[in-house]
Amino acid sequence: MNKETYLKQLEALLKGHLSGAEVADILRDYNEFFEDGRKQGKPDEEIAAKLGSPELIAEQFTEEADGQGHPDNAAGPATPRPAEAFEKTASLLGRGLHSAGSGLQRFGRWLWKLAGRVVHAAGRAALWIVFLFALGFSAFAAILFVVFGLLLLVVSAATLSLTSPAVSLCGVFGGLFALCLSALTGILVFRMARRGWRTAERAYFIKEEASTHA
Amino acid sequence: MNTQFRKGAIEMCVLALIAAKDRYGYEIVQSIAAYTDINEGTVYPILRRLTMEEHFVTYLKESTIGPARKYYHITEKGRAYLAALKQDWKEFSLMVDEIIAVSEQEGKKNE
Repeated sequence: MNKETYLKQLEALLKGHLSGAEVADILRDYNEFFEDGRKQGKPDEEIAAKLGSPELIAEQFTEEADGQGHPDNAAGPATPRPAEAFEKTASLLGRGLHSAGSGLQRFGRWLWKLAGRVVHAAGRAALWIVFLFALGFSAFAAILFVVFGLLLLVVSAATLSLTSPAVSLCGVFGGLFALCLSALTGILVFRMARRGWRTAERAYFIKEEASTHA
Repeated sequence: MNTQFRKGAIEMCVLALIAAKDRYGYEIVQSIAAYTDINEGTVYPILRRLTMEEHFVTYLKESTIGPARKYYHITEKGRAYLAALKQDWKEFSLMVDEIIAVSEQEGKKNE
């Protein structure tokens, strides 16, 4: 293939992909190359063979122009042709749809996770409510026992002269028994409360601290 | 060899050649072709892109016979780019050499 044929083929392949000025500039470069080769005494055929086929060269230029050769430098100063602009828009649209789809997927996953968390939190809250209710009830019982025991002792002491010694004795023992019960219940309440507090501390405060550290 | 990989390496060679002194197309192509068998025409697309990315500026110089020659001159941006590429290349080739050497030793041990 001589220089003229080579340049003609290259021109035909580049036209439509690059602007007229760009094609002219590229042909100028290859013409210069052929001329430099000729100066070295090389026949056109040899120069053309070493250059590689016009198809290969044209492909390289159009690839570079499309920014496919180097994704990092996709935003070159080349002005986009209509076909290229369309391709870019289509690919952007595709990417947009894809990211919208994956966004929806992410939202679904997030919703599922949220639901899981809500259920988990509700279960935990229910447990806490039951626990606090039991604690409150026990505390109430302990106070009731104290009041009841003291009342019984006072009444027994006050009515000592009115009733038989056996009844008073029963009242005193009943009062003491109630006070013992209230003490036991009090210990139970105290232990329950301590345990509840520690659990809460571990579940909420320490974890939060760990997460802020992380 | 992988064309993409080759293209990157040729790009670095082109930058290095022009960083040394201003050169014209035929000179650049022959400098590379002296070492490796390439499709000589594929250097121009690289020159063109690097010029568009402002790594080179070009100027025409009249020749005694034949058409004017287009000379390529490296810019500051081009020098910085070449320095970064060289650094990457050195680190990369060191890593490859090391892995090959270690693998060969391991292979000998297992024989």
